[in-house]
Amino acid sequence: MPNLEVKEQLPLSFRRLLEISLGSIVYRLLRSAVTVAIIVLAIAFLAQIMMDGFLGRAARQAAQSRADKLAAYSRFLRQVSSVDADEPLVASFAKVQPDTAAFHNLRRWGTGDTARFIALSRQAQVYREFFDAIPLGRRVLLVQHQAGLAVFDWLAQPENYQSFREQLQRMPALRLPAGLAEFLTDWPWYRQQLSAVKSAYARVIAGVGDVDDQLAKQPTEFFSHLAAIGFAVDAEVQADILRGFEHQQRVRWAFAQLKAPPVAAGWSRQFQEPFSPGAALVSCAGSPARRAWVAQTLGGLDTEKFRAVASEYRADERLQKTAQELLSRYGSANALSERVVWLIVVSFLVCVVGIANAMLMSVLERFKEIATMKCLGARRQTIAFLFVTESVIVGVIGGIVGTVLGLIIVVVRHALAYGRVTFERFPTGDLALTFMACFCCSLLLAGIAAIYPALVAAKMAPMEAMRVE
Amino acid sequence: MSRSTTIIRTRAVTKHYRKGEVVTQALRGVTCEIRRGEFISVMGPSGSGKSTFFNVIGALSTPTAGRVLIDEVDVAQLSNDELAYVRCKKIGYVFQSYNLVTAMTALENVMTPMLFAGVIPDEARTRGMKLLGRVGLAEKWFHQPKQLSGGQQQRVAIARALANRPRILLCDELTANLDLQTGEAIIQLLVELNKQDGVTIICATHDYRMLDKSDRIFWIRDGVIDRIENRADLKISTGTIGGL
Repeated sequence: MPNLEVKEQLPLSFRRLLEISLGSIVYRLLRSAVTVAIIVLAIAFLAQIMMDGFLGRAARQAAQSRADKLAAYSRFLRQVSSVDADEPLVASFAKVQPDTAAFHNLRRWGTGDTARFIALSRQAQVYREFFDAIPLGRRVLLVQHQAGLAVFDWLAQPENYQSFREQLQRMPALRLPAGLAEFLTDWPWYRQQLSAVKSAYARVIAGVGDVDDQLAKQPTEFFSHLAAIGFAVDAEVQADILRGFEHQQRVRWAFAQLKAPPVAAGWSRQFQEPFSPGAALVSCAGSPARRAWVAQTLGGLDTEKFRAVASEYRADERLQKTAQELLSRYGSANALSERVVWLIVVSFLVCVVGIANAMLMSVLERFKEIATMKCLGARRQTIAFLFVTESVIVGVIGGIVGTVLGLIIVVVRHALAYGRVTFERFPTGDLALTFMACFCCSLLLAGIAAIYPALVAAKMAPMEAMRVE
Repeated sequence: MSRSTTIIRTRAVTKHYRKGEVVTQALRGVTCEIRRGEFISVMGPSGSGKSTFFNVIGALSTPTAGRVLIDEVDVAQLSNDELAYVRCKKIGYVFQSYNLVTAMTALENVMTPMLFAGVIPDEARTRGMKLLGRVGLAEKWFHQPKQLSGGQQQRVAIARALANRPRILLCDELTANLDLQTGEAIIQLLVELNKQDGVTIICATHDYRMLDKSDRIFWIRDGVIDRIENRADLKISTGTIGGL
């Protein structure tokens, strides 16, 4: 009489799986710690690379805007003292934002349709950069020896444009920005507006007078005078200009002290280095001895003012340097270069192989335990889940620790390298997203790495339990 | 439902192992019947196929040819999950090297098969404590295997094997790693289970004291059952140790 009581074994509850996995992690604390450490390293590396870009770009913007403020005075000086050549002028018009003083200035200087003028300036800028980037040999084939805005004058002739198109078709690698034909139809209007703007602007400059003198004596009146003759400056920019001017005055004063004959002549003898006022002022910021020597040599100096100016000057120099460094490193918009992606892939592979290896060792080491569990009635899936769960728990811990570590490393590194600008526009939102992404990555890594060891464990024959070493 | 008196039945069971090009014939046609409530000892030199015989009748591996019926169910017909069910509910295993899960306490080890069988944790805990009490380790329930002596570990393993009230207990050399006195106590425990609870006990052993308590002894040699002897036909005399 057959006995048909055999059923399918029930699955184990998730909670119980979790308990068993946790117990086994705690029991093999050292092994688990090593696995966690592998994940921590890989994820910290990933987090570091990803967060570096966000932090760098934020710091670049912060440094840039501070450097721009610093340069407000010299830019103003250049603007009100001479008319630039066409190309820089177009470049600066391309940057004008609507509803600023510069926007309204353009309207006063002759363009009825300011928005159109600015849009065309931007287009002109794009095409000019495109043509400038083409190597000379090819450019000659395309537009002969024309350069700058003259390229558009040349292309505006239909027969020239025709030959340009023909040549362009033989250079499939060149990607011409769209809309050039339409731009060229607008070009005569733009050219006309541009010269109108330039001559109006030149008239403004003729009426400006001695800028420094005006800024020193009655800045408010000076700015309203400028606005009256057609060159308005935003209030915020005015403040920046004044601050820059005062700073410049102080620096000039400090330079004058250093350039005094006894100091300038004695400097290189005293400190065994060539004399240049800028470098000398920077070195004075950090050295009381040098400041004392300058005061002594001059026989009378406002030491407190000199010290303040020197350290101010040094801070500016550093900011300029930082801004340049940040620009060269984080200037491009694409977040991840090919090299960085490659590094991330390699670190992931190392991580997956590391975890898989640790888990596989753990499986092989525990073959008897696994086989015993099977003898006690564990299903294949139960065993597989046990190992995946164990790996995922390790992944969660490693992921959190790794991401936090990566965050700390990258913030400290940036703070040391670039200082205050790191925190000025701290990209909290981006970093939080990156944090989540890295965490998910670690889970994924741990999950993927556990698949093979879990399969090995699941397929292990229960009779292995009988083996005796 | 009338139940057959036979609990394990094998018919011309053969088992081959293939390792690369080499094929080992571990079993070459084993036919036997084991009745409910029997106490069987299996003897045989190493390499005789004794372990393979054990694996096959314990549903731990399937035969290459022939049939193994446990409770009249053909093991070869069962899916993986059904096999897991059989191992969980019908058979208890006790191993020579105890095979306790090192990361768990004694009680957790005993509870594991019950949890696999779907017993709710509270009940599993109560039953686990009862079983530990039965093997005399109730007060050591929270110890991990490495904190227990060999004999204690073996007793936990027996408690674990009994967790789901199996009808068959398969023991592999369970006294081999124990000292004489502990071995004696363990054998006594098995006899008790056999006589009181009617558990069918199958032991692979070289221990004469075990043979002494058996109903029948299977002698395995070269992958076949060489002979089967009843206890009455054997001349074994075991001494007493330590006044037992």
